[in-house]
Amino acid sequence: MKLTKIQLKRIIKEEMEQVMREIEQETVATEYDEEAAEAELQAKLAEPMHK
Amino acid sequence: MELDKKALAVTRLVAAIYEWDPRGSTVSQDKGRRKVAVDRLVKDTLSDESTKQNVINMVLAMTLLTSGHVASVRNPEVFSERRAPRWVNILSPQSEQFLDILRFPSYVLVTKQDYANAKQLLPFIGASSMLESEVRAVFSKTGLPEKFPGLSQSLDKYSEKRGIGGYGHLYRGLSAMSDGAIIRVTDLSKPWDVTRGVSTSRNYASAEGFSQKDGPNHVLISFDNPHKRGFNALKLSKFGSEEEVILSGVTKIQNYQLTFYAEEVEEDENAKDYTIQVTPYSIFVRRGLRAFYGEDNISSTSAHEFIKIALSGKPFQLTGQNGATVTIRSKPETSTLKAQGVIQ
Repeated sequence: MKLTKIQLKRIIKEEMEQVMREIEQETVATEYDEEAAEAELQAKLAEPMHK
Repeated sequence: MELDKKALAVTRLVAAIYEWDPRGSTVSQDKGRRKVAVDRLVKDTLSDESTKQNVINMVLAMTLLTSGHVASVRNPEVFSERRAPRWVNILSPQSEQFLDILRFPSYVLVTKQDYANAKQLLPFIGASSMLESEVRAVFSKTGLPEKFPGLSQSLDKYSEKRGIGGYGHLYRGLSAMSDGAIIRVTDLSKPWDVTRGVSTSRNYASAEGFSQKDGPNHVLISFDNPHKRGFNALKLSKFGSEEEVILSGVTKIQNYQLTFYAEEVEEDENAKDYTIQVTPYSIFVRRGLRAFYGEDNISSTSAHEFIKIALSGKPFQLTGQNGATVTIRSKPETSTLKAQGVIQ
């Protein structure tokens, strides 16, 4: 079966999008680190409250 | 360290005097009357040098927390003497005047030792509590009620707002928090240690505005303060409009309402956005504008486990009321969290 140039472009585009989605998913997902969250909270609370 | 109650009473009265409207005919006349009132208060109450020094130390510690170098308050060792400002640069006009009356030379440079003193004192003044009657007893022994009856009336009429007996409710806004910090706030099983002293406000709107200052993930915490702890910074702070109160203690979050957004993982033209609302007792999910999923009477542990999964950024499945199962993933940093806690 011979694919046309347009078909090839579509397949590559779909594959690329799939890979990008997977990369995005991996980078967005993070394990909850309670110690880091506690430190962040304490640091934020230490700041004075004015704009 | 035992806190000097008289010194604390004087600072509460001074904060109230600087909020008093003497009804003069000009702004400068009002300022003049307030100055005379503070002067009289100092003369009639602070005859011994040690109490006077304690008042000075309290005002200086509050100033370093509210307008000093944040990192140096936490760790005085990082303070750079080369970049030390003069006190006059970080004081509010009211504090400058008050310290001038107390004979403190506010033109001198701030030192590392000042930060060390503040670090030691802030936990105590932030946790201080004093009955309104105790503060009034100090006030009544001065010549102020006779000389300025309007001031006495102001303390009577607006006693709650003036806070001479402390404030029962205080507020704190936090902005640009990570999703991890949101998860931590919603963990009701673990109290927070805020015994170092933190800046809060008696004004809900001020804290709410601060929570939306910048970045996503807005947090607004309302503290119930049954022992009316705190040091009234108010106009003694350089940022008087924020109506700050320095608070310290152990906080236990009791309730919250968290809202964040999610999207379907499978891209399809009918994919909808999801709005998720969680409290310690319920989870409610809307698909577009329609109710999709709801759970009531759950435990706070289950609610927190759900938040941990949902805000991790990993896809998770939900089966809606209509029987449809969807795989969704939270949109990072889209949370708005209103929490209520109690200062113990």
